Amino acid sequence: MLAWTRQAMLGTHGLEGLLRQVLVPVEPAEQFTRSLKARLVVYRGREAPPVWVLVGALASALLLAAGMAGLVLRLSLVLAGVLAVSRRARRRPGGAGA
Amino acid sequence: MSVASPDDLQLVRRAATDPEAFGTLYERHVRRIYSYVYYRTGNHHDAEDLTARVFQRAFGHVAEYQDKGVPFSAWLYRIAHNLVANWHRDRSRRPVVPLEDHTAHGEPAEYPEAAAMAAEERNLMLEAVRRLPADRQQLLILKFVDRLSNAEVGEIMGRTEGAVKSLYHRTLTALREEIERLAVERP
Repeated sequence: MLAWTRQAMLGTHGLEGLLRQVLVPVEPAEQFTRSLKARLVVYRGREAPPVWVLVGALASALLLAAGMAGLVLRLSLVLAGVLAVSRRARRRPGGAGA
Repeated sequence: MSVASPDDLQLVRRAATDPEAFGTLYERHVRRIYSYVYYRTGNHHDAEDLTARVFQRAFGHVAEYQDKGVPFSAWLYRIAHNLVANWHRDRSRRPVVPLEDHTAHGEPAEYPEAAAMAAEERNLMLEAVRRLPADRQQLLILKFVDRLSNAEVGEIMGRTEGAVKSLYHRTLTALREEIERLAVERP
């Protein structure tokens, strides 16, 4: 049997003595306390957004980017079409460029 | 305990609009809350996670804090107690967790055998404490880690000083029984 176990069985004072030796304050890591304080004070307690918010934001950004790319493509097609029509009009006899 | 709480109260009132004031409150209480959570969870990783959640929740609700004669630290301990209870419930297990001995990181002992024996005894005691019901663990941590009086423990646990005293004696009896049981399990 362990020495402490025997001591613990002695009585209240023995047990309290053991508790005093075992239950001592534990220091958190300095880096943890500093970064948590920064999160609370600088970022005003905001927690990192949950994963589904990040996934949603990423999906929205991709959709928006695809939409913008589609729009740019359509605009450039329209522009190319307009240019082609105007060139053809210039080449046609009796057209603007003749 | 920092029951010299007029300061705490002034800071709490400012903290709703001034994060720096909350930062000061945080500096004052983070170590105690961390110790408390560490002994209730048994490892540093979860202690950090839960301590962060305690202060994030406190920050989010500090504007709703009402002075009812109970120190601000008691409010923090109650948040910590609830979060630890949720943590244990989520893990669906009794509050007996693998021990991560904070004393194991010290300097190499001159007598390794004696050091190993001492570490084993500490672990046994911690395991016995962790086998106790949550309120009894809380009582022991507040009394021995935070060195609070029965009256201060009562403020945190929402009990009278007499009730704390009575619970303390029942806790010591239960702890002795747990140690005896563990000693039989690990001869």
